[in-house]
Amino acid sequence: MILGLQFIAVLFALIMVYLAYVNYKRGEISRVEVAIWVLAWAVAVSMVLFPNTFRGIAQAFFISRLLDLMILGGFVLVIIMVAMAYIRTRKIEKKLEDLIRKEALKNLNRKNEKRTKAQK
Amino acid sequence: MKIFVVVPAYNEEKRIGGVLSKLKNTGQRVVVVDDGSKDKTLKISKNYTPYVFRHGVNLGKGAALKTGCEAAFSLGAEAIILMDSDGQHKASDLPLFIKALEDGYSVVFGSRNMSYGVPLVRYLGNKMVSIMVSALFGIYASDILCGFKAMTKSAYKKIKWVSRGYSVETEIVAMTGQYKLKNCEVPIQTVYYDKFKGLTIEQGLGILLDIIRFRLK
Repeated sequence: MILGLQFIAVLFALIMVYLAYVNYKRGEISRVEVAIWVLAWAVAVSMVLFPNTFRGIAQAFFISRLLDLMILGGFVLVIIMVAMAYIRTRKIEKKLEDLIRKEALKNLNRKNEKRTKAQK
Repeated sequence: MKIFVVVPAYNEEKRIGGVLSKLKNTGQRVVVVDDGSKDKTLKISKNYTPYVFRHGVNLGKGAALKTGCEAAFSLGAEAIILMDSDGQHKASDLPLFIKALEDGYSVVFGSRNMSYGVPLVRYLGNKMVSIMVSALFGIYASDILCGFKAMTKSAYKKIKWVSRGYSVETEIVAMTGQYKLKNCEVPIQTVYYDKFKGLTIEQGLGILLDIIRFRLK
């Protein structure tokens, strides 16, 4: 029998899978990304529904409870995602700065080109 | 020596006219970079100099200075003087920078008289940053956060800062130390018109972290 907490966890996972699918349909994430998300949530649902199957894996890592393994895994995932988001933000900031500065100096380059042509 | 004054500006419609008017009287060529202002800064600036450039959005002082310097060097400048647009700096101090550049210094730092007129919090923050930069880069500038600076084209090419915001002042000093560029300080006058302008504590803490970042660069 499924417990209340398990029901909430499965419902949450299904909502997240649906959100990933919606974003894929809108073209905001690729097919590979949606597949990774579906796989990640499928693993989470399996762990919630069949805890005994995964208990062995937790013990292999010297973790006594399955919940601890899930929390640890979640932390690792979040840290990786934050680091990736930070790097991407920095890249976008740099690109935006270059674009804005290039736009600001556009007229100057035009003037310089005219001057060079006049000198020739 | 062909020198340009680079003035970054952000929402300075009240004071930029006065600053540019005084600069015009000195006969120096002036480059203004309007860093995405929402007021009449751009329009006012165009009345005083033909070299006005605009960022579509606000990027920060460091980015505005970089745009201004690149424009100035493209226009044939051999050296540039960086000056704030809020009227803090006096155009009458420009000859001090020009003389130092002509004497062969690659980078010239303006230094405010810290015993007069500088708010205490700013004074303490400034000293802390100076000591930290001195320890990490082997260069001591008594007024590291002062925006009144000058440098030659070759010095700019070496320093070429990456900071977009207020950290640019610290980065210029740090890189001057790192590349062992010939530098000096000149005493300047400063007027604080606005109590609430300048660095916030959050920005100050950011600068301290940036110093460590510059060291690791």
